Amino acid sequence: MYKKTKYLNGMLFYPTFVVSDLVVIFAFLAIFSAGVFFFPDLLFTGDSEIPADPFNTPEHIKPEWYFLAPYQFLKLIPELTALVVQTLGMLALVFLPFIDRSEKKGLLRRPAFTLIAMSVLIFWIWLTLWGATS
Amino acid sequence: MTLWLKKIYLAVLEWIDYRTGVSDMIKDQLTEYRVPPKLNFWYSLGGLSLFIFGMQLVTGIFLLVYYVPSTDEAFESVQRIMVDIPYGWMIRSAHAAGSHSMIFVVILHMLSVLFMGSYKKPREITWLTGCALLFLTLGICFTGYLLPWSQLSFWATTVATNIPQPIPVAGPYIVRLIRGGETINPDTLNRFFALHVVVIPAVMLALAAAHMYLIRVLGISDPKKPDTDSGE
Repeated sequence: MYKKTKYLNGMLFYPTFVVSDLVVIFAFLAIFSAGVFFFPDLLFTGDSEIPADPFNTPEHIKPEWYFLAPYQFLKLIPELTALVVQTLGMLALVFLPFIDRSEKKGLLRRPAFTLIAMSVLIFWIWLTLWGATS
Repeated sequence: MTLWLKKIYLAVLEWIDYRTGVSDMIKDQLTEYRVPPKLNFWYSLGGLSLFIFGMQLVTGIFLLVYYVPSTDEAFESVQRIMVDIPYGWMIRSAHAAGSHSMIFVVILHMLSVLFMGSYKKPREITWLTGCALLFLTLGICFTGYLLPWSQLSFWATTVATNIPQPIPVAGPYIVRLIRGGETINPDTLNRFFALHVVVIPAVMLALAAAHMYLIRVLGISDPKKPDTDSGE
């Protein structure tokens, strides 16, 4: 079995790391509560205030931001091709540790990975922005 | 604290400790557990995801008290939560904002693992459980989206469940399987409700436990020693 490194001079999980974790959690809560209390209706507008009507299709149907990129991608190229490409992409992401077997971790030490990952990420962000503005 | 009170306190602690070994566990997991020095901000995102997941469970249980999962009453019950139930608007708004936050934080967490190379040997299984958790997070947001039974819910789900349609042969069957019929219907709401409040959260809890167990067994991937993290 893999023997994990024992950090004899490492940072203590409690209290040091727990407190630094709490700093991040409270920073998140500050932004989160600002959203919930100052803009409680921000996420409930337009079609979400009308009861579902199966016989009346609204004009603009757009998914939430996290599904915008795959949704835009389906419009970009023929649907079946897009589905196949996206499924393969997902599988590549899931099985990445078995595809990328080098032990190097630094970004500059594995330029091919960095280039591919960055391109995919920028493409994803571009599709999302395109979907949001179209 | 007076002396006799302290004695009782210590005796109770010792009674519990003798029967559970809890003090050893606290030592091993908290007060004597050391992690690599100087972990950066990115290492807090997993904990933050877990925190938001906990928040979603709490607000979700509150919503579950008043929400009615039927096509006739779902929309009305959500309006009641927003208008009549004290602080219902706050709970629902927090649940909705929480879902967006969770996806955002989980994606950031994945990107940090990706670019720091933490998924590499021996952490392949940790990565697989993490991927499953990401897909389940997307799934729980997708199924929850239909529950208010609004125009937005109905048509967004109609469009999304139509996506597998162009797959040769199997396409129409997959669409029928997801919808429980030709179109979005009361059965769709029922199965999405079951998935959203029971199936997906239960599986996510189990996977999150496995994820954290593996992190504990393998140790945290050290940001300072990117290429020499292969043993003692």
